[in-house]
Amino acid sequence: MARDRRERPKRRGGWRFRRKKKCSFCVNKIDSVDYKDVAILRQYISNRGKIKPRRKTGVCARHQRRLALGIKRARHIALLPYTVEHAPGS
Amino acid sequence: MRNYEFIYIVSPEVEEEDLEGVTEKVGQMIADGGGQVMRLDPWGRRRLAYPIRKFHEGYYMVAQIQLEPGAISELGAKLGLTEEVIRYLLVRADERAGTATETAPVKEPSAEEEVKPHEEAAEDRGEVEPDEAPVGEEAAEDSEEEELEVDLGP
Repeated sequence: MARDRRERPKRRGGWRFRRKKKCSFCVNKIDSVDYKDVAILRQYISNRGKIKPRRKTGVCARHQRRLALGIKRARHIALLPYTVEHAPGS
Repeated sequence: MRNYEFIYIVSPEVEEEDLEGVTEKVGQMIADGGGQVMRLDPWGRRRLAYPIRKFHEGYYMVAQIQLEPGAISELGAKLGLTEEVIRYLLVRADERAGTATETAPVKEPSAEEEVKPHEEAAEDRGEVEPDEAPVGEEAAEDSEEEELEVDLGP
């Protein structure tokens, strides 16, 4: 129980450098995510081709849903990769 | 009749001059289903993000079409038998209009604004690039882990 009394170390600037994030779709008033717009979609996939979590990108829930759909469509028509190839330069 | 956006990829084995034949063929399929091509926008030869049928490139065709919803499966079946078309995607076009009406941007207190009003208010209006955001997140996570170790240490 001694542990309980011991003061927990104070958060040393816990969220330091963390900038408040804003849904860039809301900011730019884009309400639908176009699956043909590869330039935008690319910002929301990792370099392994995975859809980035909105905790990292700050996208709101509504736009994340649309974004995910857009990315999946773009993948289907080979505008975006499903994954990175293992053998480069094929 | 419903509006669709119809995008398909033509095999790179098709010669440039034969492309029109393919688009006509596809157009005929749509017409057979009682639809019509409103607009056709060829993107040209483009690299595929991953190989399809061992092709690394393809001619992208983006068409706005009208089609009877009942004719979609038939069109799909025909396209499946069409060697020249290696991939297609048919998406409702008015889906966009639908989402546009439901999304009333700034003024209306939409769901996500209600969830985090304090964040919205406290924040200065600085532009946040989505690419930069992850860095901050990772930094934050790192510091959390550090703390955890300190906690358990003594």
